[in-house]
Amino acid sequence: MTYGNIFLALGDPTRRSVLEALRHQPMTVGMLAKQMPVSRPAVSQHLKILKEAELVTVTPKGASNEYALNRKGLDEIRAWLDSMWDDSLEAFKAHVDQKPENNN
Amino acid sequence: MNKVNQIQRVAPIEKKVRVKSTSEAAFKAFTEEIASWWPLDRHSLDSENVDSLVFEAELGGAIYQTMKDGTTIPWAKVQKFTPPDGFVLDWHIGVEPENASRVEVTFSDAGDGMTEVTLLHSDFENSSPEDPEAYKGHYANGWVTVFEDCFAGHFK
Repeated sequence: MTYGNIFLALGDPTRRSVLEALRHQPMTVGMLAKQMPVSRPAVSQHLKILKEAELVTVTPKGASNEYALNRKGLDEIRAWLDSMWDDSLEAFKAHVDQKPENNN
Repeated sequence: MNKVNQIQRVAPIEKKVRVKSTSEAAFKAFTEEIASWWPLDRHSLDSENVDSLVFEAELGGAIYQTMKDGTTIPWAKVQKFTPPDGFVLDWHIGVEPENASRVEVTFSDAGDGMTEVTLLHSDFENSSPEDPEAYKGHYANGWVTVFEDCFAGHFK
């Protein structure tokens, strides 16, 4: 799992609509396909990418699978941004502090 | 369960760091020299194939990563550029530019030859004020979807 996967998964408006729909309740592929302006196989493909990015979970429900939001992926994005700024500012500080011409 | 049209403001990420530098030099280092310090190996998209990072240090300029194959991936756009006091970015890595969040970086004199750099990453809900009805639409904002949930969970 890389953060790049999460952002690439979120880079598609249909996949964001899928996540938006799943915020309200877990749904099957069939239920999602009725709400989306794309075909059922397309919805399945989007769900596969979302699942690989750990943004959704899948639970067998009778004859079909039910998809739900996975907080893990969402929490990771927030944590990623937070740590990104920590890391980057630390590197920035090291870069500036080591330059003697900046120390007037 | 929260309704889409009941978005609450989410807490921004705020970071402060002090550097041994004038604000002019710190500002220049953060912008023009970003490629010399940004940890691309840990913080970029597709880090195995990334080459560098470019900060076009001017109003309207772009920040983008360049790939070894010559392609680029946009990260942000400069919305306000007032050296050496600070700058504001529309931060849209991974989402459409219209769904950008906001990054504000300010540089202030901390005395003793030190500069305090404050970074504020906010507007994750990206309220699209010119079109509040968009919230209720099918294609609600990606950052809302992502951050309302994770921020709400984080700060409850």
